[in-house]
Amino acid sequence: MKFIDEYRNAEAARRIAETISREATRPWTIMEICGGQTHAIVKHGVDTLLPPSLTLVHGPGCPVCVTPVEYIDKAVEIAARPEVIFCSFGDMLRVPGRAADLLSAKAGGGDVRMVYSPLDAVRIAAENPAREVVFFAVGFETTAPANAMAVRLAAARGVRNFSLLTAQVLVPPAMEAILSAPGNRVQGFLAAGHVCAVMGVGEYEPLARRHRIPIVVTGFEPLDILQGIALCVRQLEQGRSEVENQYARAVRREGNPAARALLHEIFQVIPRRWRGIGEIPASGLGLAERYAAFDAERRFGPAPPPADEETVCRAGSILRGILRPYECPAFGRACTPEHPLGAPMVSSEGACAAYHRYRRDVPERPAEGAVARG
Amino acid sequence: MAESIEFTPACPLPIPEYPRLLLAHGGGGQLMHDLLERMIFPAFANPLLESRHDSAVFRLGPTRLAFTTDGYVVRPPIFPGGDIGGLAVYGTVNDLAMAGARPRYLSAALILEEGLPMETLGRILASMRGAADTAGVQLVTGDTKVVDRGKGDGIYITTAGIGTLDHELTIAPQRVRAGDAVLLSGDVGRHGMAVMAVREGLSFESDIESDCAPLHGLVQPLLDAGLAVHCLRDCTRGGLASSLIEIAESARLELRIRERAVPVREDVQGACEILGFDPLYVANEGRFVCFLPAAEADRALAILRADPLGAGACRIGEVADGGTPGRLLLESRIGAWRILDRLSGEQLPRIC
Amino acid sequence: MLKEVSLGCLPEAAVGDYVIVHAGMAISRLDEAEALETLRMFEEIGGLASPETPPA
Repeated sequence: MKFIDEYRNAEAARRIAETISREATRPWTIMEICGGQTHAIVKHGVDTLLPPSLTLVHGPGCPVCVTPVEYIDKAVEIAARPEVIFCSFGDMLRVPGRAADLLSAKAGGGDVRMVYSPLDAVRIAAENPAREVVFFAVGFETTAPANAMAVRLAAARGVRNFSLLTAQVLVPPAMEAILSAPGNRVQGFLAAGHVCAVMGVGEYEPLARRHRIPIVVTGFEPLDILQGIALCVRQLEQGRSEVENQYARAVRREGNPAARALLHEIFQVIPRRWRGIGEIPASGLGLAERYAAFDAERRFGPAPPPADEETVCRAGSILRGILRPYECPAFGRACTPEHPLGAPMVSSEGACAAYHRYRRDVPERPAEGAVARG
Repeated sequence: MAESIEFTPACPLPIPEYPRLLLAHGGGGQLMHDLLERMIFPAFANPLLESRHDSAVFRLGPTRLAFTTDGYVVRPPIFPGGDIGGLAVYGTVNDLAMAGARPRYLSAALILEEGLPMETLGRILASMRGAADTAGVQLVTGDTKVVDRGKGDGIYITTAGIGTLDHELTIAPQRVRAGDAVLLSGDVGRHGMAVMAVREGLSFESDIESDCAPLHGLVQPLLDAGLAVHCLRDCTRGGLASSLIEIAESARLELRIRERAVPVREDVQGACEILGFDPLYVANEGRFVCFLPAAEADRALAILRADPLGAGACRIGEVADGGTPGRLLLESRIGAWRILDRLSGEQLPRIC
Repeated sequence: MLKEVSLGCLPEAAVGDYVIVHAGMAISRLDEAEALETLRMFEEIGGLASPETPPA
């Protein structure tokens, strides 16, 4: 297929991976902050082609992981109401709240429908005037234009029985929070290509300058990701900290001005809590006052107060490379692939499951300095 | 403020146990696997059930028989390339074929919803008859029930099937051996995407049609040629990947396949890209995998390709000598190796 | 294949263009010249014998 197959070429992948191995003279830690890139890396096995000195860290780039648990709870509560048709993207349906997820709300009798677009939810609202249609508006700047357009359409067509439960987040404030956190090991970033297709690249320049860190706007095909990593490594080796655009075929410097104008009209920047992180100021999008009538929290009551989730799982430290799986107190005892306590033990490719299933990879004692590596 | 933020991202763990059934428990993934292992198998434990193959094979007097059952709940009941009736017949005869049996007789119990148009019922019955004729089987007994409007998606069909084995081979995952070749009878993803396309209102310049078809016509020549077929499995719910994972686990061996060797039609690939599906996990209704000694692979492929239904037959990988028992490894398109897992529930289209 | 998407944020899109669609919304046009340039860079970055000299 045009514009896709060429970016999955095995020979080119091998060559780029070799270039990375050749040019990386020191260990580097690079973070990507986009669920789509994480998925592409895992699906195509991109990280297995990288030299061991390169640590690729998956940042909080996936709405599934960062939507605060109290919003899942609110979604489940709204979905259980008999008058509501609750619409959501597919990958949010199995995310657990404190007690239940949207799939269990459906099993319990709630009208929960999977849609590919918030525009579909507006159509459902127009077709069901006696019901209340709520769309679970999660996601980053990539999804925000669709959410905004849904509100504008509903307003223009007088579809009043439509509202958004918003838990939208912005990428640059999260990057700022990560880079400012104590003990931060991230030395380079791959910026999410489709976020930048909407927002442009300008927001990343102050970040690169302030933290002296290279940021490469990267696409989603495996060759894009490899090239993004190669460009980032090259900058690191050369001591540069610039914003580079690997995904120039889809990303313009100014982004999509029409989309940005739409966001500006419908939304406003608000503080937002991120699951597993806490509140980051000015990191979310909520409805502008003019469109408050479309806010599900106004219609159905606010989300419950946040409460910290207790977890034994040290996924955060493991994902950042601070802790090896076998150094976690629960590893192999309370936490096994049959009874996992956290995500890295669930998937066969998770760091902990990999160590557990294929024990021969575990050294007798951790190598000198393995825990303290930067 | 930023200094006090402790960054500990973690993917929240999906709920492993639910007090009520979810649709995902029928998806062919981990949840269904758990349901079978924790509730269903223990309720009935017996050696025939433990073989966990598509049909139960046993001897009654001098005759070896294969016996299977299936339920069909596809929505919409009519889709490009077929309908629930043809699907029910072919699906059942295929379960028998996967044990190396010649399908003989079927039963069908219809659960019909009040309000189903007679014309729709007539069409589905005609499909069943046509499929039975094509497959060379007879529908010899059945049942009909009607439920209130709103209590059934138009029509559900449950079938049972009986076949005979004219040979002494045991064809089951336990017979798979290290070094065996893994063959696939054709391109994947058509049935699942044909149904999804109708459900999601996609249309194509020419429709993706289900690959719904009887498979014993492809299997019998392999047996007639005296090939040492070790295992067969049709790749229905959960797709090619799920079938292979189950076989790897039952056989306690490692399987290795190459993504580039798995044929996927361009329009199916396009539909998968747009809807966020992985073709390796999309249901098929006319495709199977075959495990047999590597030395016999070429002959088997020639036999399969001689039939139009097997024109796309190819070798996609092998059973490893060593490695990790129960593991399915995939060499991705860009040459990297990864482990394929069961889906956790059913494949939910990915958005972000 | 045909699926309805909104061009509300991409008014300049014309028939025959390739676009990036997200959640039913077209958010960006694919620039063919840039696409070819990226493919060319894959060749270049794969084949470079030594890294560029770092700036002084």
